[in-house]
Amino acid sequence: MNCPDFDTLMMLLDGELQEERSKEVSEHLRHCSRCRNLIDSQRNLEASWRDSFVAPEEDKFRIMEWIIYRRMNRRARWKFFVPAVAGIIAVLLGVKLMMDNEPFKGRITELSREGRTDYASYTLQFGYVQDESTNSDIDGFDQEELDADASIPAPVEELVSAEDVSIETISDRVGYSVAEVELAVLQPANEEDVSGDTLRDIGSIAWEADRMIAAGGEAVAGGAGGSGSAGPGLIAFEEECEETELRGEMVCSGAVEGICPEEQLDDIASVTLSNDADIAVSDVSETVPSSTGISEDTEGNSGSNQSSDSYSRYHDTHEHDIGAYKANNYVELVFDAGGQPDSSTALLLDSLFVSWSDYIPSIYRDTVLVVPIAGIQEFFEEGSTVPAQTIE
Amino acid sequence: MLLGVILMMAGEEDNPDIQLLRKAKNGDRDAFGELFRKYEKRVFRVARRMCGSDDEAWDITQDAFIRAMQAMDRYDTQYRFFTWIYRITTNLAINYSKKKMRRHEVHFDEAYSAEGQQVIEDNVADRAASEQLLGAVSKAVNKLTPALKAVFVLRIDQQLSYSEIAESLDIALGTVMSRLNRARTKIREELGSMLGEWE
Repeated sequence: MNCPDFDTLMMLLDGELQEERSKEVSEHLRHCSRCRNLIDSQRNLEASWRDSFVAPEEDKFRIMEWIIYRRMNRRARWKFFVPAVAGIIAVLLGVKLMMDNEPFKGRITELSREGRTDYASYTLQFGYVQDESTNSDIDGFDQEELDADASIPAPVEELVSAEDVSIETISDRVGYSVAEVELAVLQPANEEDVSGDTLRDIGSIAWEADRMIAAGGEAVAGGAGGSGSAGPGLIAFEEECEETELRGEMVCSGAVEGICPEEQLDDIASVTLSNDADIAVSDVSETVPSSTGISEDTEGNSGSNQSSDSYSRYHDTHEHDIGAYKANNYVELVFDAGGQPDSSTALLLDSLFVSWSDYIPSIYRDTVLVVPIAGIQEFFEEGSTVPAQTIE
Repeated sequence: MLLGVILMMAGEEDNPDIQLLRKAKNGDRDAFGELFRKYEKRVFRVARRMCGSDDEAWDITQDAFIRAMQAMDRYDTQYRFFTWIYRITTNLAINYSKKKMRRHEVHFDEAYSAEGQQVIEDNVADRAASEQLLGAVSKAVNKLTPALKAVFVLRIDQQLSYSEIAESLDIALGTVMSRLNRARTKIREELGSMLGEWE
């Protein structure tokens, strides 16, 4: 028998040769040292290369698992979020408004107060859709359902007085957008509370309080879909709200992820509002410095300053968040009002160091930390000497 | 048509991976964890073999799982899930390699020569020579085109059968065989006289 060709020998090596042929070639190898050496060298070469692989440490896989889950979960939350806000959108805009593509007029639909020690915050939720044609691009956005749900809950109705928060400039430029924005009116807690009546005119709040209005894309309590969230703010803008006489700047972290096609993010990033305010997309823009105009516009009120810093840090952290995930250098640790880590954070901490619960002080209530992965254990063990971003 | 739908549904019921995938996509943390842990090392390893660094491999791993969940509706349940995740991973790695080649960033991954040190010590007496040999093999593998490298990695590193490779890469069986042989031939050509060390 002549020597088999290289392909045949390799198929024998791979166990892919048919039985009959395999026997023939094996028999040949008994008598042919050349073919035998060729197969041996190939087998050894490949085995050495295969065995040379060194797998990463298990911890890295757990971190990766956590990162991917967080990323996916943020996307998935839109499924809850969109139906939840759909009713609000209908209330806010009305079918006619969408049909006519008129500028959006926001209304106060929900009033809430957070028990912060240094300021009171009120929530204004609004949403906007550029025009009807974009509706079909929004997953779960069903016009008929919107029509059916377009009722205003009684407690909310009392608050709705049609005073406008004009954001034409935004809706003109940003299609495909559904946003929920929390506006926090910053005022010291020891001053007289801003009443619901005052809130009916968001402009007058700012005017009367003469304080900065800040807004951040905080989690929004879900509607029918359960607990939902606006997710990470992907779109942020700063605007001198001249039309509503809002003083200072407003930083809104809306949510377009899952609605706005990825390729459009660049377009949004390049948009400049008509009043020279910039729209920036987080992962392509520069980090908004914590000393942004928000603080500059507050007038020496410590409560306001602290709170505005909080929102700035929130934004900063999100910037870090995206960048960090890519670089795998930082993780976000979230602690609830009781100072306990949320489930994702606990999972991560479990995978990184066993006795983490001994080192979590109660000062981390309502806190989000952005901590370098490499120094996460040292961060807690050494009394937080490792630099971290903190937001309240 | 109806039969196809029924078969597809039946296939899904029999496929625990796709059930995990569906649950994971809907936010089930445990399902995601189970699925990820089942395939994480295989996916990372293929990515790492295909590209030049751990960082790139992590990026590809991350993207592969996210793509899998995003594209779940396009998953044909007549195929095995692992071949599908391999396909996503190799496609991502090939695209990554092409982008790098366009940017002229192709570089030899020197890490392999060091990583393989201990293993070779067991097989070959001469430690220095073994390092050199394994380094040469790694270099030769890294010189393969992405298409050849994908077949080589799935066969040699992951030890998939020819038919599994064909399914993973969505290519014909004959193409698998021809690419694998071309890859092996090129590697042997690169190694030249050093091959004698392995006989």
